[in-house]
Amino acid sequence: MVKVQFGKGDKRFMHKKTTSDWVVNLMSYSLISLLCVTVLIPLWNLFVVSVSPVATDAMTFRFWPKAFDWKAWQGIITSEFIWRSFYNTIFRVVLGTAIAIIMTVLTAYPLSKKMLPFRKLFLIMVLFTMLFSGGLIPSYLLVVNMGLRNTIWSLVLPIAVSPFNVIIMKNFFAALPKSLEESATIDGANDLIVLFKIAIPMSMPVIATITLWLVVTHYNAWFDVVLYITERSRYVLQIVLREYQASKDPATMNLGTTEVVTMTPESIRAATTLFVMVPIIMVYTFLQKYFIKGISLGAIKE
Amino acid sequence: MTAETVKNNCRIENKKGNAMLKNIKKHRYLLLMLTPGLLYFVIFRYIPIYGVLMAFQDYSLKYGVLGSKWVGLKHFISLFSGGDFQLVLKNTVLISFLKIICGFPAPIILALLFNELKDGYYKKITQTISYAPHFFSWVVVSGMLTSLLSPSVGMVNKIIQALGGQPIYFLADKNWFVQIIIMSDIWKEVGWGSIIYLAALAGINYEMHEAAVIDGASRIKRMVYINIPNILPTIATMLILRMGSLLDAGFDQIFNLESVAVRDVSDIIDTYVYRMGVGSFQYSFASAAGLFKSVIGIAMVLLTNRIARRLSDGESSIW
Repeated sequence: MVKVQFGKGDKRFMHKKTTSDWVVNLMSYSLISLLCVTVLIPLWNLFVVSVSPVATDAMTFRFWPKAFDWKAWQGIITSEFIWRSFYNTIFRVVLGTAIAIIMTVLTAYPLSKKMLPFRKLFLIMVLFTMLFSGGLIPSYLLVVNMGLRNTIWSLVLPIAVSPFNVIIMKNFFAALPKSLEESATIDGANDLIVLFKIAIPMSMPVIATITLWLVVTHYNAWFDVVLYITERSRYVLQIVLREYQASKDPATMNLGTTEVVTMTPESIRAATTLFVMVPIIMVYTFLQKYFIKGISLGAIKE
Repeated sequence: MTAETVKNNCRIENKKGNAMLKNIKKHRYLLLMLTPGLLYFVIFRYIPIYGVLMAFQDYSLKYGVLGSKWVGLKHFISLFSGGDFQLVLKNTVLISFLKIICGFPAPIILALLFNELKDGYYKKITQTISYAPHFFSWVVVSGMLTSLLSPSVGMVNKIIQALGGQPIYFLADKNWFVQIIIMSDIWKEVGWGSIIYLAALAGINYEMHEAAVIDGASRIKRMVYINIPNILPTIATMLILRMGSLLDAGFDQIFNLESVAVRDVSDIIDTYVYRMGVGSFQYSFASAAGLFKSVIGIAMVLLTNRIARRLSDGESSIW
């Protein structure tokens, strides 16, 4: 959490409360509370809709559900389609993150060395892609022409290295104390050994942060699946949710229950939306300090 | 400069070619490490940049960029003479401008407000909650919004009806769609966006506040005369970065929320490129639209960066 020192809580600023203090307190506490309510209400609304699957119940608004009817949840929890998509999501997250973090480290470390031959050229090559890209169509055609459609590689390779992450990690490597690496080199270690035995262990904070970003990117990615994946057995959760949003009839949603006739599509959508949200909420809540740390890492200017 | 650099520089002056080879040999492991990354950039970043030449061709999948017929600016001319793209461009700029005007100040204000809170559970919890939407994909947020705004079961319309109004189909109503886009965008990113300003606020020299308190400055005065001026460089940097993506009106968001009913106001360059290219196989035409966007993007970054450097003596430019 970002530490902020100049709030009212700072003991050195304790003095008699003035009107100005009251106005500032009223404004900050009320506006921030309001913002949090607007975040929480839609989530609660999703939950209420998801446990009111029968059409007659769904038609009247209740802040508290009339009864907790878990039919919609049962439907998705027992759906083979949902779990296969969940497995596909996990698979792309693990494979995509692993490849991306290895590639990013291997690209960033040499670029952090001032002695690297052609360093300037390589750096410009990386930086230029942050400013200019070929756009959607040439990238799409490249993946299609490489024959990667309907394979996991179409989701993993095109985003294997992010120039932003390379620059962040390069700056971190460059700021590491030189003495350890130098003494290892004198002892006869080559660059590979120095990277794995010294530089990587010392860079775990930045590696952890970038890993988390990659996990979120891969978990939330959906457009590449729209572009490259046509087989339903290879869908990821985000795409299932997209499909459900377009579908009007629960009977076509591949649910694991036959009671679908009595359910509104809204309740199944709401349950699925929450189902997709839960893993990311858990990851974020428990690991938020690592996510936030990364923001200041990105602010370094060369 | 290390002794090694000096030694190497001398060597280069003595026997240039030989020294270069020696240098490469000496750093062979570094170059080896770099190879996969370089290959990635060549294949997945530079081949598409080369491929954008198809915007000046009648590209056919069969012949590729090397063999397709060159047609010059044909696609750009039809892009700007047809009414379609002008509407798309107008929507893009309008949505993007509204997002900047309404959405850019929002995290700054939120950060200033967070900064006034006492450190403690309330602050911790509200920060956690307000950052959370950043981690939801637009597919998920769109699921949330459709549920919330649905004319039949949505909470918002239930409340409107309870107050005696008529239900509104927000996402299919041209008068409402853009407003929903702007508001949901702010809602999703305001918390996360405030972090960078909070960090800047935390870096303000403590003595400034101390002196101001002694002089009897109120908290509002300190906010206006100390906090805001001190985060101006950060604000300028963020604005430059934002201006660079002026033509990014938010593909993920609009693609997930739009429908045919609102296409007149929702269609932006990115959705248009997708529909024309991937949807109707007009690869060259769609690439032309995409290239136009990329060129404007790079021009905007260079321009705003130059302006910022002039105004702030290099302090807030991004390079």
